[in-house]
Amino acid sequence: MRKKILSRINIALGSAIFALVGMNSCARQLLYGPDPVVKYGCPPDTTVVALYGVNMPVEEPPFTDTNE
Amino acid sequence: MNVRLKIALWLERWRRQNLKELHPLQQLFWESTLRCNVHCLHCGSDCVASVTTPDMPAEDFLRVIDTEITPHVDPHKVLIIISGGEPLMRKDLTDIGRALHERGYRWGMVTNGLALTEKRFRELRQAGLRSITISCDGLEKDHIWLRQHPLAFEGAIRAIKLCAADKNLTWDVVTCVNQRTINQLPAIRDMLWSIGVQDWRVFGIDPMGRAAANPELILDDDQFRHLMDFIVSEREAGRHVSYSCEGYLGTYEGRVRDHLYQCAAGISVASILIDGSISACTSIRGKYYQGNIYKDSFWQVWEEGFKSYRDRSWMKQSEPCKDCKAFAFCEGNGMHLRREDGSLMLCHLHRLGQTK
Ligand code: SF4
Ligand code: SF4
Repeated sequence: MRKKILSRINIALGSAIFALVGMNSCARQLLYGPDPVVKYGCPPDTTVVALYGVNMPVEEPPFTDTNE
Repeated sequence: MNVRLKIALWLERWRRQNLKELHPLQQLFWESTLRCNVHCLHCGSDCVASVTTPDMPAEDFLRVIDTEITPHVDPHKVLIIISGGEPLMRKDLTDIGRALHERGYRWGMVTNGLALTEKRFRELRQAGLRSITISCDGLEKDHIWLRQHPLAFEGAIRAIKLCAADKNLTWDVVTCVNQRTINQLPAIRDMLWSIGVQDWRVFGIDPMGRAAANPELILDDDQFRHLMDFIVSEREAGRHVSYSCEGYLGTYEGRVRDHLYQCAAGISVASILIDGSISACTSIRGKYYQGNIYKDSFWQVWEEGFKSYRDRSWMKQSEPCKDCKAFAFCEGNGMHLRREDGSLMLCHLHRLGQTK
């Protein structure tokens, strides 16, 4: 229950932060939404650098569409 | 600093405190190999060790996924990032990716692109590769210099073009900006945009790994400010250029990234390293490792360990963070910038001249 409440608070906080700062016009994806776009830029060392997550539906489409 | 940003930073702090309690596992790095096909000047890996360190067997990693992680998470909400070394050095990468995909995980990788042929790319996409980051560190001459391989640039460009032609892939390019390239940013941008790049992440090189011994790689404070201003102007022009996750940036917060600063290490990010060590981002020093998959339960470590990541008050005990007024927002900078003895390598706010 406590976890659920904290999650809900965080969603509200995220929306407020975004509304306040906006992260300018380039922020095409809302990091702080209910299903966060896990966008994660990373470290000084490209061999360990991290990358984007994607805002994908829970049911992924099959991967038959590559370069078709 | 304007009032809106200040309020947002306090709300972000509140959000971060909640997140520490929740600590949802959202990104899991797997350091799958230390082998690499280039020899970057700035690499943080120890390539002497790479020759002798064997890859982790795929079944060891998948055992942890199946017995320790899957029972506790919704796989669709966890991104597994296969890193290295160079992940394409692993012949079984496609099989591992497929195994993760079949279990419902999103997976991605970071690559220098050199070994990414069209055939390999198609195989990986069929195996569920969802996102990819390609390293490109400048125009041809400088990229080759940094990567120390004559075909490095050609490989990176080929990989970028493959990604650009695939409309369903999430991908970006990362560039380590250094003293040679800081004044070429517009030219690098034009080159990248001309071949289809739409997301570009730039960062400076920190004094660690091989870079520590090569001052030509590390930006000075003026150059660092120039980098920030460049990102701001690019974003204002509608191009999606971002700074990396590290470093609280004072008045630049909200202007150079899509989020306010937070170090997610140990809060939503974990890793399994080549020797089985359990850590967060793979560049974090050994002292902060939390366990080992060959001895400990990963999930127990994730739930009960990572205390020094989730309570960073220890970082306020020493300089330069001791009396820092921005500590509430920064919390002592990224974990990867802490040395074994706990001291800090770099304060971004200091570089920006905003500590007063
Ligand atoms: S002194 Fe420490 S807490 Fe303050 S901005 Fe620098 S790294 Fe962050
Ligand atoms: S440890 Fe460094 S790379 Fe990892 S999330 Fe923190 S700042 Fe980013």
